[in-house]
Amino acid sequence: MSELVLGVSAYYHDSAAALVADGVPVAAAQEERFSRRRHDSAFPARAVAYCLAEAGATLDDVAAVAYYEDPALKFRRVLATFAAAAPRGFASFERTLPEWLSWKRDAPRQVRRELERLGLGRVPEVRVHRHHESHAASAFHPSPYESAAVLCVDGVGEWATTTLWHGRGSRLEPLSEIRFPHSLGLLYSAFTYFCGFKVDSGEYKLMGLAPYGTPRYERTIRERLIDVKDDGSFRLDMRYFEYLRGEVMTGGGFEELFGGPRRSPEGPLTEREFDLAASVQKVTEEVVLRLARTARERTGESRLCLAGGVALNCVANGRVIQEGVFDEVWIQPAAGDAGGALGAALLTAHEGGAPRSHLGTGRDGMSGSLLGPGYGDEEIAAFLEREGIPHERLGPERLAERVADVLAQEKIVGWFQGRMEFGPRALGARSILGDPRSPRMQSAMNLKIKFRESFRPFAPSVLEEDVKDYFDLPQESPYMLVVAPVAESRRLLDVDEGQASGLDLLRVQRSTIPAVTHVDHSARVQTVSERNNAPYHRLLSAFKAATGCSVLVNTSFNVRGEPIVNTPADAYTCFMRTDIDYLALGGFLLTKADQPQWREDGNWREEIPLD
Amino acid sequence: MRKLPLLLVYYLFVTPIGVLLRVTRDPMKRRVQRDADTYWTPAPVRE
Ligand SMILES: [Fe+2]
Repeated sequence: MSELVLGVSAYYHDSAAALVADGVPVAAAQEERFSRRRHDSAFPARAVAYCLAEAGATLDDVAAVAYYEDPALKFRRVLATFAAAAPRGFASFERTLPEWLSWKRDAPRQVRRELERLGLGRVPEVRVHRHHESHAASAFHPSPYESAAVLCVDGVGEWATTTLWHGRGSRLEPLSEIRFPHSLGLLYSAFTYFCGFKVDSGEYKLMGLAPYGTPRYERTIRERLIDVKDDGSFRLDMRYFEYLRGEVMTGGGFEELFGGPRRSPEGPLTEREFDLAASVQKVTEEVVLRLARTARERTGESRLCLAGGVALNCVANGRVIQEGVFDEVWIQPAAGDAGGALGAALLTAHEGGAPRSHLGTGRDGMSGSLLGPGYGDEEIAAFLEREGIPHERLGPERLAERVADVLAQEKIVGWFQGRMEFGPRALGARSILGDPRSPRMQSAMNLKIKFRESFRPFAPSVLEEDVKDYFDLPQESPYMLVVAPVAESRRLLDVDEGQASGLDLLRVQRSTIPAVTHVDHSARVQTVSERNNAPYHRLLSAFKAATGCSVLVNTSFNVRGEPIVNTPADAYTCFMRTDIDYLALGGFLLTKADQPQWREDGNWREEIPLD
Repeated sequence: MRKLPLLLVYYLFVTPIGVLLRVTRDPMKRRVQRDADTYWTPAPVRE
């Protein structure tokens, strides 16, 4: 049997488990997909059980468990933060110290206890890796590169918030770092908080808001909040931030600089928020660009690997690619802390001598990030029979043709195929799809399916072989983590914006694929290849054959505030609660019009927290 | 009731230590240094 290493990340947000066999990722999932609690931070018991089951293994077969950060070192940082904030941080001290003393500083022991409780065999040695080392490993080891520069940028783990590495073969050499409290991730989170969104999840909304604003606060941010050196290193002026005290991100300092108190959550969005978003986004891009240039200079490499929460900022990633700082960039699809579970497992495996066996194949080692649970047609058939759900059974070819046809008629389709994605993006395994040519698709999908604000743009999936016809993107983007301009040839000239401003700008049609074109003519592109996702590639090809268009709208299969669906039952529930017209469940097609009346107790909208 | 011991520890130990550290060596490096060339620090040596 191959040598198995189980990776775990837990107790902060987005807990996850990952299993690596002889250095190859074979299973990985976030706990939220099983517990149905978004960003679940509890011990990932069900994700661990799934990973083991996927490999047909028990803990007896696992050589080692790898934990994604060093809690003892993190505890020292927490203590130093208490001291730095005193005497104004008692509330946070009182709230968090007891749990740090009782178990958090020895989280690996807690992990061992929780694993023993699963009753899945004897728990092997638990090894601890540093937070940024786990990120770096998740970025470099699965990348298709023999050697590369590696850059990790996030909020904070132990002390490091930004780290630079040189990856060669199976070795990762640390070069330089920037430490807490100076953090690009926390700067972005501070603005997320100030604009009334949730820290650790609303950052995405801030990024979506940025194209509506003008960066009129850029100078203020650069002069007062962050001092950026030419080499990309930076320091924040902590007099303006409140997060050392632990309860809130910003306070009086921000209010003075940016004209009054923060926006209240769910309050109206004003020009100030648009402009704040545009400003902090611009500063972030500038810093990431400089960091990338430094990474190139320090390593002499022509390829870059990225991870850490800030690597989910696909607009900044797009800038790095657009400016040609590197010949090629690879971004870990689970760039946030969930990916730390995979990185930690890879570190332990490669330290034990496992090879990077995907090198030389020209592919990365992530299997398209389709590392989650899959459900075969027999299992799905049993579910449909048991629940008495009307359906048609179609082969893969006919399914692709039928779905392509209804998509061309502006219908919205739930697409549930194969193994679930690892990472925050849906990549065509748990996706809701639509026709990008339709001018009404954007608002229809936002309001009738996702039940969310209409300012967020949708992302396109495009056949890899046709990407250049639609977008200015010089490399592949299999994990939807890169924003690129829509090609000039697809843009509509002389667009009349009339009196439109703010969110109304989104209603203006700017290209032949309006549903995925943001107000600045950008799009968050996913390139789809046959080797990464054959069923989805087949569907895109069928849609192209039917319409001449190689692009689909791809959004995650969930409603606002809910984790992405995992099981066929999750998918059916979401299908019935929303205005999705068809559901392709494995080889089966379900039509909304044929379904019985959907009944459920209670109001599900009230049970899902706002995101 | 655990609040009282926490209060005592916080104001009798954490606060004086914190204030002392801030005036002596500012471990959080709260102020920017406009004239410095870089804020990078070498990666810590791993054991
Ligand atoms: Fe992180």
